[in-house]
Amino acid sequence: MTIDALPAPGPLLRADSISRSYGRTPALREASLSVTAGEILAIMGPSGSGKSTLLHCLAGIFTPDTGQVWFDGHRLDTLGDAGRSRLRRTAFGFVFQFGQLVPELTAADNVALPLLLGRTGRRHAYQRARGWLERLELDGLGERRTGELSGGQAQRVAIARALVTRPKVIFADEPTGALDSLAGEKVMDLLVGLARQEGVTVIVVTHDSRVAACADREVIVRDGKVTDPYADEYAGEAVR
Amino acid sequence: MTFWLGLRLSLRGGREAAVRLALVAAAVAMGVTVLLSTVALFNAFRVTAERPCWECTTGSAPAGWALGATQGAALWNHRQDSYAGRPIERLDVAVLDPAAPAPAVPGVPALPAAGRFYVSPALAELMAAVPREQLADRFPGARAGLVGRAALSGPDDLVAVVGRTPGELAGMAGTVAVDTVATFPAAQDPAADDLTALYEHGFGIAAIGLIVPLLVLVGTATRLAAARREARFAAVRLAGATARQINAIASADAALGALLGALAGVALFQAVRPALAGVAITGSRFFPDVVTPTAPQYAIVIAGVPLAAAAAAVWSLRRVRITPLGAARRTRASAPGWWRVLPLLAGLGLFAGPAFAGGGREPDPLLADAGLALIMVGLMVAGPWLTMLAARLAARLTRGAATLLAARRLAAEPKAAFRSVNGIVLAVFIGTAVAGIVPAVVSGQLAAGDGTLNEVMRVPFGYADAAPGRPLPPGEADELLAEVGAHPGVTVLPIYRRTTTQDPPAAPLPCDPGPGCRLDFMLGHVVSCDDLARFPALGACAPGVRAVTADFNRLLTSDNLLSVDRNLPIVDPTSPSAPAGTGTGKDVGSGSGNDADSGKAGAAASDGLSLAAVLIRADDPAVRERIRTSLTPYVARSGSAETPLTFAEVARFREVLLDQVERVALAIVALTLLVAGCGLLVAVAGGVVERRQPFTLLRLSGTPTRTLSLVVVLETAVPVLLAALVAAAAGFGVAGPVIDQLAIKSAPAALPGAGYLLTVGGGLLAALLIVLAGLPLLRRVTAPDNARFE
Repeated sequence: MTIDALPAPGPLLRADSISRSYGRTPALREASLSVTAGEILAIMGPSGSGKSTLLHCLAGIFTPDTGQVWFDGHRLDTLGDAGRSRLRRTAFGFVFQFGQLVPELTAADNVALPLLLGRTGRRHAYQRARGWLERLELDGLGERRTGELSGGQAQRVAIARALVTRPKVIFADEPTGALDSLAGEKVMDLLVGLARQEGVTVIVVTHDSRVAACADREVIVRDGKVTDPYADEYAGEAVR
Repeated sequence: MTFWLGLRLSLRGGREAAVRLALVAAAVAMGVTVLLSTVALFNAFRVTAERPCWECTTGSAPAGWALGATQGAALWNHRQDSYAGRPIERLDVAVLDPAAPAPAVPGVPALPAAGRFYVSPALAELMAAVPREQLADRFPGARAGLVGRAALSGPDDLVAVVGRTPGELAGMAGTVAVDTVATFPAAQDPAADDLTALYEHGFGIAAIGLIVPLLVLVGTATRLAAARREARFAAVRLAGATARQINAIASADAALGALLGALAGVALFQAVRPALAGVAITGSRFFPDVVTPTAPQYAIVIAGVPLAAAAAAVWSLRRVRITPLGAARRTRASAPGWWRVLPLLAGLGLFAGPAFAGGGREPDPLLADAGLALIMVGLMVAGPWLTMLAARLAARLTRGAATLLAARRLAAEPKAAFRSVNGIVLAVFIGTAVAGIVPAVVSGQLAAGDGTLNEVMRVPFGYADAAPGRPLPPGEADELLAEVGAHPGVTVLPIYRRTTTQDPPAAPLPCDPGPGCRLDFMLGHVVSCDDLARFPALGACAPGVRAVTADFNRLLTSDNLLSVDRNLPIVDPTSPSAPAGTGTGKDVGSGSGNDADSGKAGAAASDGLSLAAVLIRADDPAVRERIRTSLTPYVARSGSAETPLTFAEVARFREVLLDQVERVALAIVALTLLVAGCGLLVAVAGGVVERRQPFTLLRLSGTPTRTLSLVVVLETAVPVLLAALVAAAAGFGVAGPVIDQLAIKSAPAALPGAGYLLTVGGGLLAALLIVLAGLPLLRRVTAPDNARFE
């Protein structure tokens, strides 16, 4: 599969009637969603509604029990582990509430990590990592371990890491959940601003309306179902 | 690149990573040191066993010697002597043609001329330290030099090569003519005893016994703080790493720690090597330079340990599924079932029952081995179930927070808790069994004949047709008895051979020979009842009987005093009196000191009886050695292969062998406990780091550090003590039937000695103290100001 395919005329990412259960507990029920390239989408909903599960299915972290997930014209849910790992490394970026950084590594190491895993030369990888750290106002902190950074700084490192591979989609799950309002606002400004500059699609899960306000569009997940006013527009349309 | 990432995570991952790396390296270093020490001792043993066995030289039949000049040949008489229980290898040689090159003995420049001798350095030292008549007089002539190490197994060997004239040697029984000296290893000598195989077997078992705790140690070390590392790996997976890349990172991380540990272990081994060379693990020291691993063995350890660690790391990841969101167990641990105790019970039952059924029946070695194997496997299998039971009981009976926390965790994860204790279980079991058996058997050896034979020296000549050598003819017997009787404080029992003996019957014997069953064909010896009365342990004649026929073979030949004891008394009132025509119709000699009775010996001898053996009691050790020195020419002339030894010395040879077995076993136990202790420390440290978050939360919510420390100590101490208790009970359970079989009934009860208490008790205590070494880590990692949860 070639990830760097030509831009699809339809949605960049699309879920068709996906369901996912944890044991006997359903998390998603026939959920459908479409996201266009460059769009910033907020997924909202109460706790336990299935919004994170939806995000993980869209990112290929989870495989839905039923239904299909398409990315850039290719089935994602049938892709093997290695293929999905490559997608995460090249086409996707992640900003989670916590846990996405390796605390033993420095900020620069963490940002360079996806490039290093993709066999980019070390020098080039660190050059690009430093560049992104500068853009995220973290210059001078590159040699600090992430455990030594504040929560806001750590989230900016996560954003830098998410963007360093020039991904097509950034998946953000409660990116400001562990931050105070000021730091959260700054993180969101940077994430949204850079995404727009780079033309990156952002799918952000949040229950914070201020975060959702940064998005172009928002959908609501409730009891595993998605309320998406644009879903019908794409229904039945063939995906390339 | 991923390999580099693994190294990066290990080397520059901050304090926690450094602590982890140091712990892994230290644990592996300890394991490698132990492994190299075992390999070095095994090499030393093998190198020594490969030494050319000049003592194995055989020659042509004694008939038809050309005592004149025979080119390239020598007369050769090799036998064993002894001083204070220490064996002396003695070779008397005579060069037949001094002008021609003679056969060469390794370590000796040339065969000594008559009146010259070579001795090993240890023998030279001993000769200089004791009175001349006790030892040096045994070697006539002047010292020509020292025997070199090519002829020796170690620096403590006592060896003498004595030059004689051909005429002197020709008069000695057992002399052969040789033209070449044997150069094959002692292990290949068909006549050699099976000690080499025994030791090789022992080292093999030791290696296997050590490998298990070593692998557990390396495995535990590489899985240190596994949960936290798996969380890191999940983060790396989120960044796009494949499962294979995660394996590579984990392998690099594990291999680095193991490599550093292996190198440190090699360095540590160099530090302990001189001390190791001084350990007489097989009873005598090895030459220091042979106590070393070979270059390929070093290479295998340095390369193999990191590879094993890398493989262990990858293997451990098979049990978890690392996803970008975290790690999940692939399998759910189930509670151990009661069936786990069945193999242990079956093994104990088999061992105590069918294998050692008693009743005088010989034990069945196959059943005994099967029973032992079942017990050892059973201990490891039953451990988790017993731990769970003890934990549940403790949780029910105790109310303290620490006990509750520890008991609940042990009950929930008994297999994990017991994993690091496996090595201790086997060590305690083996140590207890061996230390239980050996002192009882050794003390039993000295209890033969209620201990009254201990200072009695047995001097066999040709005591039976099948025995090497010939009995002393009457003239020589007179001379010997007079010479021995001249020493003060000496009591003698001459044992004569009947002139005619009968062959064993073709039909099956009507009873098992022994007390109560004396068959006529066996009654080949004759003793005077008066002389016998001075050795009451051997029995007594019926009143009025002057001399009896009896079977002294077992007394004269057995190297196991248990066999001797079982054959006592040799004479009882039912023993047949010596019939006329054997020379015993009248007085059979008496050699009790220098009294007038000694003339009776002459009477017996004149009646045609030859001297088969003499029992001599001399309580003064100096007198004993003088007698031994004076006996040397008689023994040489008779050609007897038996060295004059007291029964205590005979027992001591067995005691030395058993002590060696015990020493080797306890050395293995000590090393195993050391390795297991390291494994415990690593497991404790790993457990603390792993549970940093819940422990920190407990501290934040007001739980005192003391309570948390107690939790950690209890979690480790309960399985250790429980395992030690069960293993020790199983060890004594195994020792019981063996002691019953091997020890003399009248022997006083002997408990495991100081070596056992020091090794097993001290080892367990050290293991528990090692656990305490992990507590400062607990305090540090759970400090409230560290409470950051990423």
